[in-house]
Amino acid sequence: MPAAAQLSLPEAVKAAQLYKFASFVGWPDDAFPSPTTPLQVCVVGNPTVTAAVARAAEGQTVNGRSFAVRDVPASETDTCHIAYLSGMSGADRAEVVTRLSGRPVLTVTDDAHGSSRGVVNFRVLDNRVRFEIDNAAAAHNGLTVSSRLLALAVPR
Amino acid sequence: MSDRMSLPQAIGWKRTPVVAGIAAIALLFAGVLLAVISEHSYQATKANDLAVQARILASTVSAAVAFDDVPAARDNLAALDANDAVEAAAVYDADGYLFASYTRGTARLPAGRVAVHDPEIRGESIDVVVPVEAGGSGFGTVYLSVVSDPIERRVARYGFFALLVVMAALVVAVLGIAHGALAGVNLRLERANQDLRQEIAEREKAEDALRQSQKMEAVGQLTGGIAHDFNNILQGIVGSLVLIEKRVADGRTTEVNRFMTTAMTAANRAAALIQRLLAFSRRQPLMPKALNTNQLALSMDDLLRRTLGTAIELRYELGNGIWTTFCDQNQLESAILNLAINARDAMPSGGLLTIATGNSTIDGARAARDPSVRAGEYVRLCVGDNGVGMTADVVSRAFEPFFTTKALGQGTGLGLSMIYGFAQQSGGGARIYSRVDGGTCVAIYLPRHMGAPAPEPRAVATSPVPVGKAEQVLVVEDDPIVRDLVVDTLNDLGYRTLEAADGSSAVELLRTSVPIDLLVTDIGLPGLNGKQVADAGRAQRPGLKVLFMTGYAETATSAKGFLAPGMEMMTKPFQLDDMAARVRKLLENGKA
Repeated sequence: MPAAAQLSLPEAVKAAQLYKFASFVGWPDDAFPSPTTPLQVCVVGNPTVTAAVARAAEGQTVNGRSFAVRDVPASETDTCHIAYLSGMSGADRAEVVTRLSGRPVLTVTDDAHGSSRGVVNFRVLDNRVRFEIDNAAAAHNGLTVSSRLLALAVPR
Repeated sequence: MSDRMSLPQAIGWKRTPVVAGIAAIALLFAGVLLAVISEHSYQATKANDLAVQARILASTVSAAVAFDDVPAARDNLAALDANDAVEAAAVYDADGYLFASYTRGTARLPAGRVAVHDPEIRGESIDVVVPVEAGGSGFGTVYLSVVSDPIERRVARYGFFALLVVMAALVVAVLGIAHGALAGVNLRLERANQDLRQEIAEREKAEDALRQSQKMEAVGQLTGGIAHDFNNILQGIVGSLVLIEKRVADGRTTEVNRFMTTAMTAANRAAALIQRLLAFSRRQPLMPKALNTNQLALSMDDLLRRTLGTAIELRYELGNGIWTTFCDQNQLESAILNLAINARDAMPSGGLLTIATGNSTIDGARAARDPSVRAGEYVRLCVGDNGVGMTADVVSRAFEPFFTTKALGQGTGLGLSMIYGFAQQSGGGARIYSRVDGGTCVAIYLPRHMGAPAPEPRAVATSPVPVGKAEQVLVVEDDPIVRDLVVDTLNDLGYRTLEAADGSSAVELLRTSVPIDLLVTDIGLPGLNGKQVADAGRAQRPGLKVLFMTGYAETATSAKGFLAPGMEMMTKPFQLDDMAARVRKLLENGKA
């Protein structure tokens, strides 16, 4: 697939792992209209990554829900369960993270610093894709993060 | 009887070891069963524990697998090192490829892919494969293998228990065997006891028979002397009768009386001799009575002299003021006679036999020295000889039953033992004093009796012979001499008489209406005996007087049982005066 060929290895790994966070994160009940509502995975500003995420999550389920992967503009991330702010940087990213703070959305960022870091922040260390988790931010958003996942996170 | 009673017990005894064996086997079986159940339950628990442990591990590594974090997964697996039981563990990703693994020692992972399965026992290890899941999605599988308890640990776990069970079974088995063995010994003892009792009974019977034969032997000893003596007596009677006949023929009747007295004396001696023989040979229990030992010894003088023969001098050394003693006269006579015979045999070429009597008081000290006679007052009767004597060894055994120094067939070995038994039974004892070539003295101790001796039957003072008053007497006797004698005597006394030679003719006479006041009948008759004649007579004539005559001492004793009122018994030979008195008494009593 030509689109996939455009992704770097770390990007591909991140795209493959994104939906898996759903298995280790708990959302409040009112985040879903019904028990079978698909879990909304939104990718902001990077259709190539979106396609890769969609491929990885295809056919997968979490607690009986399927995944709905969309490419969305930053302004439409409110209804997402997972919002991967992949193609964003700097002040824009910080603005979205801040806006989604307090809402049941797992924000995911790449190599972000300071206030622009999402709940999950991918890092590439020693040529390996790792991630940081801001458990306090997650709790602020009403999300519970599995200790198994926290154990894998690199310290911030 | 006890034999039959002990039979079920015997079977019970035989069964005990079998029952104990079955119990022991049952115990072992139960022990094995318990061990198997316990082991099974243990394995189930172990498998359950393993499954739980595997699920915890799967949960722990779930994020690491999901996010492809091999080092984190390895860290998780490395934590298993703390558990000695874990042999191997592995994490496989969703595609079945090995993700991370852990092995201890020489343990190995299963080759190829693994499928999810419940705990399974493979040899000495148990393994399980569980899925790695999070949020309902699977990320891979976890394989976990733990060592099942090694054989040593299992042995250790059940060894103590097994030891207890085996010990218990052994105890039961040993107890059973011991009980069986004990019971067997008991059974043998009981049988031996029965045999012994039977033997004792048989021996007692044999001793009874021998005692009697001993008595008969003594009678035999007597007979030799008596036959000779009897001829002398008969000579006296016959000779006197011949002389009387001559004197009567010559008309010299004045001298007849002297010869008649001689004949009567001789006849009385014969009667006395016969009585003594009969009494001697009769079976009878001890009938003790108070008696004077000196008188008894002297009364045996004739008997002893005849038994001893002329080569032996008989001497009496009878103590003055001898105490009265209390014992069976016949037995004492038998004892003296036996001792005299022993003494005679000890002096084959003649000698001196001494019968000595005296009073003897045995004090406690003497009784303690020689326990054969207890302390007390006794009349001591000693029969001594100056014969060959006895060795100390023979003396010590002389009182033993069946011990004899006489040649085979000449002695039963019971003489001295019977004397000893008689003396003991009479409350006294017996001792032997003897020396080789110094003679022997056997002393019989008889307890002193406080009381006068029974009066000797004294010759009845001659009183006028009661005469008859023409009463009719039926005399039944098969011996014509005796019958004539009785009939003549009765006629002389003034009775009228009828005669019958046998029972049936007597009964015929009794059935007639001839008046009969008295029936005099012998008991031993051909055909109907005297008793049957008397019964027939009484059936016809109730209250008929009967006087029985008999020559058998045995019959006289046993007949006392059937003597009804108005019947009497007379033992032959009898004095005619005595018969006259009895006939008169019977007839007078009837009138009273």
